[in-house]
Amino acid sequence: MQTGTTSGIDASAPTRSGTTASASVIGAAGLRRSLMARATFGHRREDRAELDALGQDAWLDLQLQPELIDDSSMDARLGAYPWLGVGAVQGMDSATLRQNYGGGGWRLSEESKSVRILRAKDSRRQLFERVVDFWNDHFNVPFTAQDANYLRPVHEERVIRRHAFGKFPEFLAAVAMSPAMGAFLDQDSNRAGLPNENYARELLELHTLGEGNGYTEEDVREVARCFTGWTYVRHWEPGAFGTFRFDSSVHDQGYKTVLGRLIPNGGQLDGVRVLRLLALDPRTARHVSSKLVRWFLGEDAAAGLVMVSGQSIVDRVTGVFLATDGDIRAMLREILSVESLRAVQPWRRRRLKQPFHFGMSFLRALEIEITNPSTAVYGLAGLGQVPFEWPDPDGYPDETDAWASNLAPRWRFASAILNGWTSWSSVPSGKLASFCQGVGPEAWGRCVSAALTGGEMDTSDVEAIQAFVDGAPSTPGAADLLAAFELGASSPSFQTI
Amino acid sequence: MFDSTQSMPSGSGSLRPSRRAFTLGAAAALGAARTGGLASAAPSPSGGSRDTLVLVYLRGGLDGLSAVVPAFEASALQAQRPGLLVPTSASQGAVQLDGMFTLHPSLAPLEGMFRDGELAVLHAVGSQDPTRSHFAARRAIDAGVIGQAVSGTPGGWAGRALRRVPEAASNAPRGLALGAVLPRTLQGGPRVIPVNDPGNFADYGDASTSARRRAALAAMHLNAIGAPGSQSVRTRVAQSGMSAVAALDVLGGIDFGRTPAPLAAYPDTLLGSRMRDAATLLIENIGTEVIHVEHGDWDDHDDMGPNSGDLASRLDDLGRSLAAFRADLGPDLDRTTVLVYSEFGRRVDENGSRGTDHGRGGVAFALGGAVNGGQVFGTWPGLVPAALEGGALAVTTDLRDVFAEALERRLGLQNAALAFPGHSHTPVGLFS
Repeated sequence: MQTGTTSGIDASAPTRSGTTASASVIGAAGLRRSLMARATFGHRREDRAELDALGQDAWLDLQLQPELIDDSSMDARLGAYPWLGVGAVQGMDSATLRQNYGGGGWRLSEESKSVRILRAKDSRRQLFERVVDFWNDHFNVPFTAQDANYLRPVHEERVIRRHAFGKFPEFLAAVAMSPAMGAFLDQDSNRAGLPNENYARELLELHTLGEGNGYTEEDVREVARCFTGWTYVRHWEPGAFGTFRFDSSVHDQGYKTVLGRLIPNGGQLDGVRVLRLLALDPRTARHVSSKLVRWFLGEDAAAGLVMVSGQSIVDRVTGVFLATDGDIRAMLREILSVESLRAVQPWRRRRLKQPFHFGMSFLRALEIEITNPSTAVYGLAGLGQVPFEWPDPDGYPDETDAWASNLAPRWRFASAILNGWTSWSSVPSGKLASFCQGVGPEAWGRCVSAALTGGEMDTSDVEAIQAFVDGAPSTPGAADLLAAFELGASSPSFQTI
Repeated sequence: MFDSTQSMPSGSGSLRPSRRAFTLGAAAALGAARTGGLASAAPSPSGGSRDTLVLVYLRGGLDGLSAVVPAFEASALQAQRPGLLVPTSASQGAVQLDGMFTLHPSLAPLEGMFRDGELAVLHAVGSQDPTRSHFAARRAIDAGVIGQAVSGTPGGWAGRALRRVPEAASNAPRGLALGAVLPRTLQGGPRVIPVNDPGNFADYGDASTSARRRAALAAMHLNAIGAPGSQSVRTRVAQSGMSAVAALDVLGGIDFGRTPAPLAAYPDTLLGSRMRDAATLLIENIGTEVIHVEHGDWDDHDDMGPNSGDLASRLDDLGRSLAAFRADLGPDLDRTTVLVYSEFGRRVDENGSRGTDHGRGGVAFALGGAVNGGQVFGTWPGLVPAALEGGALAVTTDLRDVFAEALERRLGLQNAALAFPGHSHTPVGLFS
């Protein structure tokens, strides 16, 4: 496994193109760049230095144990959001909620998005944050409905973040009891005799087995019956607002049959039995594994087209899921292993950054300050992707075809920030020049590539930027350097990892 | 029992004069505000008879039985959804369509277009794919195929069609989605692009380097297309970058902040602004062939209303947005076809949350100068239990047939099978 000490080919790496490299010649530094690109929200020089110092395996080990990573400056910054981590909204009456967080919970919504942006950009637990984004889509709950608005932060802090690196069956059970999910998918009104199948359908289709994967419409109805009575305490009900509650008075007492299995009436146990049945089903293992593989390694790998030791990466990760009872960390270790990365040949099989990822990678690489996180949310809206705003339970589409054609807003985003035209970001004067210290205009193209990606940009992009600089009507100056960075952020290769 | 499919020759004829009168009146009102500009770029509507197709997708599953009520099924509705009845009498605001169906009172703004023969209603329409998953249903509709073929058939039906119809002499996007994400419908097409905020799309960056940056941007994407060893993701990025560079120039010349026509009262909603932007693109006549608008969320599992509350206000938004769009277009409606549809209808019976779960057959609307309006198309399958498809109105008209007809009759596609592989087209009779 230890490849961190070999080197020598790295000199070939400041640029890349599809034909020059092959699996046998990619060097340790090339693999480290790929790992940084895929496991984080993008290259940043201090993180890259740490990866180089630790080596690939040790760095991945550390990232998989976020509790060992000192993130105190992040924690200090998040002190501005007192509701974080304490589940402050649970147990409050509606008048207090309204008073503290605005009617409809708009302030919780805005601040949750701000916190998401800050963590994605600046947390040192980068792999964890990338995985949190994955699960936020997999178990999507948007800020839409009244109660879901108040309870979405609880879903984030107590469900998603608590289990993102945990075991899938426990995660699934926590989601099933998450009041925000219950509010979003109508569990509060799923009652005996009048079942509401909203949650049941998405449990089968999105959370576990996968669309059309061996269940019937009848199964959907039966699963809905099993979950009758799984609700949460609403404002007007006795008990602590927003906590899970099983209401046996509306539970369907009859026998149910799910996936051919008889479920005798067991009250709340009916739902628990369904979750157990689904969580470790091989089809669930494959569905979740292939989505996770797609998240980090792209569409070819997710389609089972990339092999390691004669077995597709999806098969291998599915095997890990089944062997470890859904241990998410073990799956990640397999996905981001040196063997997987070598097999994927990341320089050849690009993966498109989604807009949020693009925005974060740009801000990270150039160490741009977010001075006003709540208005940064509107900056991301221009890109087309704001955390927690995908309205449907399937989460933002992780498909090249959905995002590849929406490039112009990315160009505008980078340009507005670099020119200092946003109300929420700041590029200190001299910042861009600091990346190209001692580098003359004749090498600004490579300097931009190094700053934005650690030297990952395609040769053709670097050459086009250099040609732009060389074509300046007079001696290239600060405006040309700024424009070179705009072009770098707009380049085809900066849109992919 | 009810079958109005295929032909309605005599009934619609009598509606023509009033339609023309409206069109001319609106044209006169608009005359002063219109400033040609890019008008020469697009194919002539009279010569080639090619429309711009405006697709309005209602995300989440519109309850067709609330939007267009089968008033003659009152007893079945009373039995299965007693808490969700929509009034069908004129005194309560319902619009009488044809003696059988009535429009939800909140859709009253559509009445004039229906009476003028510009708007048609299709009922019991949907996908032949029986899925009740939002996502699978939408994918099947957007892909234009059903079942297993959905995952094996790349791209969408409109993207496929655009590859097969002759290109206008223009740099404009051929397919434009007003939103941040390119819908599957348009995927695979040439020069297809999502534009979330068209009024703020074009100009950015420092003016002193603008022209040189634009040239460098074009060069970068062109080089990336031609680079050796190009892979699919990279190629797609490069191609869409080229489309975006071209679109910067075209959209940059358009005033999206223009004042709409006097009678075009767009509601102050996202749908209202999307329809206004769509009208701007049409009026400017830049040569865009398909415009896609998405509006949600119609997934009324709980507290559907349906006479006040969310569903009613969404229907109100839809009705007013379409009416404003029509008034705004004036004579340009003659080269426009609007199709409004959802991924499925909802179950007939209400659920435990005063809402409805996912169903099958729903409604669609067609608006345009060439539409055989003023009638309800479809074969009514009935609401007796034996006629239902798993508790829902059955699908008797395939949405693909509606789309196919629009492509062949209005977009200039020779053979709709090119857009809908494996599907043989049954005529609906939607266009004159």
